[in-house]
Amino acid sequence: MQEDSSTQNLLAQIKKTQAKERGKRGRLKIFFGYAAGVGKTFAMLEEARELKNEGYDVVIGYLEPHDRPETAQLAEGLEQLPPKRVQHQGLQVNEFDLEAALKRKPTFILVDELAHSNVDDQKHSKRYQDIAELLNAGINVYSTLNVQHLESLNSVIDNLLHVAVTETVPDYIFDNADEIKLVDLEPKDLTMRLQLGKIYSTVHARKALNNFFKMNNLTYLRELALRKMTMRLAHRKKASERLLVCISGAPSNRRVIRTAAQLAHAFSCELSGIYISDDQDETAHSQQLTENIRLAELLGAKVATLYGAQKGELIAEYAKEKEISKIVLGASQTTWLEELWREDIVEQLNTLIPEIDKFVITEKKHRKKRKKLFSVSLNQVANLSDLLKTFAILTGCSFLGLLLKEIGSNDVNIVLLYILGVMINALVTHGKRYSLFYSFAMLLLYDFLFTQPLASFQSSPNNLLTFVVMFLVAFLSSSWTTKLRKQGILDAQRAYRTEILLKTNRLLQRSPSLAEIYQVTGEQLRELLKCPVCIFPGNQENLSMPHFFGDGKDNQATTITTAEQAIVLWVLRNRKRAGFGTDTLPKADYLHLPLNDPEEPRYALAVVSLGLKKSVHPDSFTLDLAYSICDECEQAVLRIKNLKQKNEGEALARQEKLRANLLRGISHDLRTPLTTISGNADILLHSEYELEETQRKELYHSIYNDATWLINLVENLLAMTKVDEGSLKVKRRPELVEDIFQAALSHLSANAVKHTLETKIESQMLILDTDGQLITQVLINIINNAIQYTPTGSKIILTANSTANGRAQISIYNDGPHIDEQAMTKIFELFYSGNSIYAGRKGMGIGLALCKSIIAACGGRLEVENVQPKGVRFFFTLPLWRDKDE
Amino acid sequence: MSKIRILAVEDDHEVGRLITMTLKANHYVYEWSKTGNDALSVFSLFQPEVILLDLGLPDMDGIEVIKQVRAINQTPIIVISAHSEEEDKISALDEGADDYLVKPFSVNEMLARIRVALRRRQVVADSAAQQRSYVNGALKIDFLGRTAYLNAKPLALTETNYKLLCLLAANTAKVLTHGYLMRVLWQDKPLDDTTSLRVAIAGLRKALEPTANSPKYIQTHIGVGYSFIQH
Repeated sequence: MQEDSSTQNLLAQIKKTQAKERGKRGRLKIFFGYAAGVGKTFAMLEEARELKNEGYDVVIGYLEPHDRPETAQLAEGLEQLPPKRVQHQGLQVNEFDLEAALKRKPTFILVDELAHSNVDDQKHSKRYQDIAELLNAGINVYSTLNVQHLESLNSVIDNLLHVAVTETVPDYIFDNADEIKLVDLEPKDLTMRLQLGKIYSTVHARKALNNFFKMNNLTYLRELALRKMTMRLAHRKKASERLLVCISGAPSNRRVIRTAAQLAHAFSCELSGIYISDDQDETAHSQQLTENIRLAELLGAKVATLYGAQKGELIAEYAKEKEISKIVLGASQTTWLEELWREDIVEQLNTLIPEIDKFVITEKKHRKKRKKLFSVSLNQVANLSDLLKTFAILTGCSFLGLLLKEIGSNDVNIVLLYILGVMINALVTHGKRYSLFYSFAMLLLYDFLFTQPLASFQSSPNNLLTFVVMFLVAFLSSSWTTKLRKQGILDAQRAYRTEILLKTNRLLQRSPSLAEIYQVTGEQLRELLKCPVCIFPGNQENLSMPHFFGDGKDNQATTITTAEQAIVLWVLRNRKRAGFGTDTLPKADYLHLPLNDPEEPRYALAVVSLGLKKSVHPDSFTLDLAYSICDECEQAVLRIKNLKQKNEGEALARQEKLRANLLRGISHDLRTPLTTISGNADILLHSEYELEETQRKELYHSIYNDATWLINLVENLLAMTKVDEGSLKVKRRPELVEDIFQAALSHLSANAVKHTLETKIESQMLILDTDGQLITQVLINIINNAIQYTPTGSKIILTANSTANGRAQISIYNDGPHIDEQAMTKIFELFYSGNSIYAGRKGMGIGLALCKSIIAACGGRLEVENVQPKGVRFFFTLPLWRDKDE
Repeated sequence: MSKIRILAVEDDHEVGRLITMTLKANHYVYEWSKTGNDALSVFSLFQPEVILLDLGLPDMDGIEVIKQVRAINQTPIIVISAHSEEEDKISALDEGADDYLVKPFSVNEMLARIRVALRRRQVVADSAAQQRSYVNGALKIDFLGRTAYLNAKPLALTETNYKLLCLLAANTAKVLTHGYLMRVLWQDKPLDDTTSLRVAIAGLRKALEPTANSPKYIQTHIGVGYSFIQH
C-alpha cells in the first residue's frame, strides 16, 4: 500500500512547528481580502511601517507594481529588495528574489500576492513555496491573499461567478498561517474606489468592473471570505475523524475532491484520498489523474493508490483499516442500461461498510467523454498486432469450420468452434474492442460461409435467433475472459509488489544497524529502478557520509554535483521531496525523497536520492513501489532509533532503581552505627565520672570503630557513584601493580595488624591499563572483608601475574574458612551481607557488589572460589598497558 | 626550645576545633583562621612553620592562598581537601603545596604529616648547606660523582632513573604530582602518558627496595603522584 507522504509530512511539520517551534520558525501573517483593491497591501505596508518605527528589521521582498500612488508613497522609506529580472516569452518580468531574501535574512519580510505562480520556476513553481522556505529560515513573512485564490473554493467560484481562477493556494497554507488579518471594505466603497481609478488605471478598470466587480459578485465573495475566517477559528480544533475521498482520472472528479476538502474542513476531519487502479496498462495513469491526486494533496489529503478490479471491496477494506468515518465519492449520471450493466459502488459499499457515512457527489458528464471515444478508436488502429491476431483466429476458425463441414459435421459444432475462438481471442488480445470486432466478424463469416444461401450475407429469418444468441454468448464470454485475465494480471502484479516489499521488509527487519538498513534500501531501489541511488543519512541539520549505489556507469558518489547536494540539504531541512519530477527544482537529475521522523519537525532522518533523469523513466507502479520501499526504510530507521531510545530509557530506569534501593538501604543501615555513636558520646558526656576507666575506653573504641565503619561506607558510596554514572568515569591510565598494592595496604582497617599480609608480584614492571583509584578501592574492600571474615592471625596474600592474552590476573587469597554454596551465589549481590563471627559490625552488602561493577567497568570479571584444602580466593583479570606508539 | 607555630586555615567550626585541640594537646602553638584573607594577614604576623590549609574557603580559592604564600617563602603547606575536590588537590600540589590530607582523616595521620613536613624543612635547610651529597637512611647520593649508594654499594641506575631519584630526593617528603614529574623529566611527552614515569618508578624501586622487607623509599599516592620517604 503506497502512501504519498510528502503532503502528510508537510502538514505534520506545520502542526508540529505550531506546537513547539514557534520561536525558531518564522511567523506567517496573511492580509486576507475578498477582492483586489480592498486595501490589503496598504494595510500590510502600514503595519510594516509601525514595525520599522519600533526598531524591527523590515524589508519589502516584493510588491506587485499596480501603480497605486497611495501605496507607493507608503512603501517609501522601507528597504526594498531589488526584484529578479526574468526573461519570459520575450518579455522582461520582475520576480521575487528568494535567494537574495534568504541572504539578507531580515526579521520581517513583505511578499505581496501569496497566490502568484513564478514565471521562472528554477526553484519553486509557486510563491507560497518560496514563502514556506523563508519561514523555515526563521524569517517572519507578511503576505496578501484574495479569497478566490483559495484552492477549496476554486470550483465554487468557478460555478457561481463564471470566472476561471488559475492561480490557487492550498488551504493548509491559509489554515496554518500564524495570523490572518481580514481587510474588509464595503462593496459599495470598493466599486467607488474602482471608478475613481484607485485600483486599476481607468481603461483596465472598466473591463474589470464588467467582469468581476459586479455588486452581487462582490457581496458573495465577501461572504465567502468572512465564512472562511470563521471556519478557520473552528478548524483550530484537533481533527478527530477521518474522511476518505475516492479519486478517479475523470476531469469532473476535481469537484468531488474540492467538496470533500470543504466537508473535511467543516467537520474538522483529517482528509485522505484513495485511487484504485484497475488497469494493467501503466500509461493509463493519465495526466488528469496525476493532476487530481496532486490537487487532493494540495488540499491536505494523504493519497493512497491501491491495485485491483474489485473497487468496492478495496475501498471498504481500506476504510476499515484506516478507521475512516466518512467517504466522499463521485457518481456519474447513469442511464438505466448502465445501471443494469454495472454494479453500483455505492450499493456495494452500503453492504460492505454500512457503518460509514457515504456522501455521493454527482459528477457531470464531461464534454471530453466524446473525445475519449475518438481516442479509443485511434488507439485501436495503433495496436496492429492485436488486430492481426484477431484476423488470424477468425481465419483459422473459418478454415476449421469449412473442414468440419466437408466431413459433414453439424452446424452446432461450427458455432462452438467460433465461440472457442472468441475466448482464445480475448486471452491473447487487449481490450473489449477486439472481442466486439471478432463477434461481429464471426457473425458475418458464419452467415457468408455456412448458412443458406452460401456465399451471401442474406439469410433466412430462422437463423436470426441463432445469430443473436451466438453474438451474445460470444461477447459475454469474451468479456468475462478479459475480466479474468485482467484480474489475473493485477493479482500477479500485486503478488510481485507484495513479494518485493516483503523481501525488503524482511531484510530491513534483520538489519541491526542504520548502515545496513541504508545498504539494503539502496540495493533494493537500484535493483528496482535500474538507476544510481544515493542515501544521505542526516545528522541533525547536516548531512553525513552518503551511501552510494552505482548503476555500473556512475559508480562514485562524486557524480552527484554540488548543486544536487544543495538540494539534498534543502530536502533534509525542509522535509519535503524535491528535484526531478517534483514542483521544487524539477530540472535536477535526481529525485530526492526525505525519510521523516514524525517526532522531529525540523530535520529529516535521511534523504534518498534517485538518479531518475538519466535512466529509463519508471512507470508509476514501479515508482509507487520505490516510495513504498522508502517508507519501509523510514520505518526501519525509526525502529532502530526507538530501540536505542528504549535501551537508554531502560538503562536509566535500572540506574534509577539501583539508586532508590541504595538510598533505602543506606538510610536504614546508617541508623545503627549512628545510634551507637551518639548514644556512647551521650553517656560519656553526662556520666563520664561514674564510669570506670576500662568502660570508658570501651565506649571510646566503639565510637571510633563505628565512625571508621561509616568512613569506609562513604568511600564505597563515592566510588559507587563514579561507576554508576557510566564507564566514562573510569580514567584509564598506566598504573603499576606495585603502586596499587602499596596504596591499598596503606588504607586498611585498624584490624589489619592482627593478620599477616603478603604480596607476590610477578614483575615490578607489571603495568595495568586501568583506573588506579578504583582498583585500589576494590582491593581495600576485599582485603577488609577477608580481615573481617577470617580469624585473627590468618594469612592474606595478594598476587599479580601476567596471563597469555595481554592481561594480568590479580588474586586475593585468605586461608580462612570456606564460603558455603548458598552464600557463594549471592556474595556479589547488592545488600547481601554474610554473618561474621569474628569481629566488627556487619557490612551493608555494598562492598563486593561495588567491586564487581568496578571490575566490570574496567573490562574484567570478579570471581570467587574456595581453595582446597582451605582458604578463599577472589580473582580478576585486567588488561595490561600497551604502549600507544607500538 | 621554642614551641613550633602552626597556622590552621579551616572554615568548618567542628573540624577546626578538632584540629586545634589536637595541636594544643601535642604542644604546638597555633592560630586558627576561618577565611583566606584572615589567613594571609595572620601568616605575615605569626610566621608559622607549617600551614594546614582547607581548600574550600568561603572568601577565596585555597589555591590562591598557596600562590600568595609561595610568593613570600617556602613554608610547608599541607592541604586538607574533601573527596569531591580531587582535581583541586592536584593543582594545589602543582602550585607548591607539600602534602595533602583527605577528609575524613585521622588526627594521628595529621600529626604524622606535620612531623614529616617539619623534618623536610630541616632537610631542605641541610641540603642548602651542603649541595654535594644527600643522605637518607641507607641511601646516599653523591651529586658530584653522579652516583647513588645503598648501604654503601653503588646502584646501577639509568640516566632517567638517576634524574628521577635526584628529583624525588630534592623534594623529600613532598608529594610530587604525575604532572610535575612528567613536566620536569619528559618535556616532550603528553602529560597523561605516564608510561615512562611508571617504568622509571618500577626500575628505581627495584634498585632502592631490592627485597620485600627492605625499607620503603618511594610512596605511592594513587591518582596523584609520588613522594620520597625520609628515614
